[in-house]
Amino acid sequence: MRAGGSAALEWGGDRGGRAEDWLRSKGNSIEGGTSEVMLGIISRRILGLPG
Amino acid sequence: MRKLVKTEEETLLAEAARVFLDAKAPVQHLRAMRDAGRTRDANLWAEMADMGWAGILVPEDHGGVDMGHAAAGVLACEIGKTLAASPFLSTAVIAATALRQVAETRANEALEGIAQGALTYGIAVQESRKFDPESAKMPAVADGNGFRLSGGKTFVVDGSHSDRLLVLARTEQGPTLLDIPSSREGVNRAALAMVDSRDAAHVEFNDVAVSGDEVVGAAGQGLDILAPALRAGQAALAAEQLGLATGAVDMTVGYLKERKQFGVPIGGFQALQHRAAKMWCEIEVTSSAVLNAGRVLDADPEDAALAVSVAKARSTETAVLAVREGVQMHGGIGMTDEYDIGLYMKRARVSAEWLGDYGYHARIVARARGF
Repeated sequence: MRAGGSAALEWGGDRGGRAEDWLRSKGNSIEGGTSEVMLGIISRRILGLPG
Repeated sequence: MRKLVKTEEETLLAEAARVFLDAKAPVQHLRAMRDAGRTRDANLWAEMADMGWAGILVPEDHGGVDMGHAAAGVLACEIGKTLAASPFLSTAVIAATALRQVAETRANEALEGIAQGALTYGIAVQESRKFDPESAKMPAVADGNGFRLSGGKTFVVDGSHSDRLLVLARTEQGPTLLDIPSSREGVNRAALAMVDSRDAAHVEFNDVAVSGDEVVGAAGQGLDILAPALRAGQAALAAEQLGLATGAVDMTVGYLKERKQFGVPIGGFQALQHRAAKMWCEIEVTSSAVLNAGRVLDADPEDAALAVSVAKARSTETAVLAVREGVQMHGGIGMTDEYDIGLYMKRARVSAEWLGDYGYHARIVARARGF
């Protein structure tokens, strides 16, 4: 979004699509286990940290 | 679709390299060299050459093993894990890639010397504090069938010990690459006391005579020959940084399991667990970028700029994150010289600058992607 500048802020259109993807990405870090749950799994199951 | 996991052959190469490096060049080896005031271990390089590392990119006709850039990256990654100091990048990767592009007897002889481990190179490109080969201005003025060279090059990695120098100079015809012995009259090398305890030099050229047959390729073609060699170096350096990051994270995770506070290992605290897991994620993505750069250089070297700059930019960020978090999670002892994490931090800083920093490579990526 930062790289796209103001063009990334438009809905749809030829240059657009970024705004939709950006909003969609807000769900990616929540659905199916939040990022925090995933980091917890990686730290215990892959890195072998206690807890 | 390129496979961004190691092949069986690459895994075996990495394992063999690991066994060798753990025996001959663990981190203590760099520390011992630093404490002795040395920046070169000729025996280590001779052993690497015996295993074929010096000739990893030298054609078989000239005594090399010619395994390609992905394989060179596999070796560089293992080298980075224990900060092994050698002329691998400047000689076996950059100089070899430059010289093999020209079908000249002199270049072929030099490639044989490189593969045997008998000849090392410093790459004299940079003229100011930032890497920017296209703006190199050092003049080489026509004189008879050759040139006379005057000016200075800095941050010439491995340059205070190298047998020869590849020098980028500007002739009437344009950028020109010269291959001269470091012992040539008028070449003055001053070793730089680098923060990573590795070899780099400032080189002054005082009216140095260069003959016409010491031009690599033709006058005016310097950047055409050098650019692919620098890309090969950037990809291999990205691999070294990936190894460095991996080594630093392994060390830090080990410390999190060992160090107790409030009666429990600090690795049980979620604030540190999540930061450690974040580093692991960064290393996973970066290792794909690094393998991709090697695979593109092998398959389609003319079109590798984007893949290489993605790898170097990402590896720089990953290595800097790994050592910054590594020192912080070690706490006070991370600040002491006795612990190795500081050596990783220093090498990460130097490798971030060499052959183009994050901004240099991010700009290439942005332009290639149409920004």
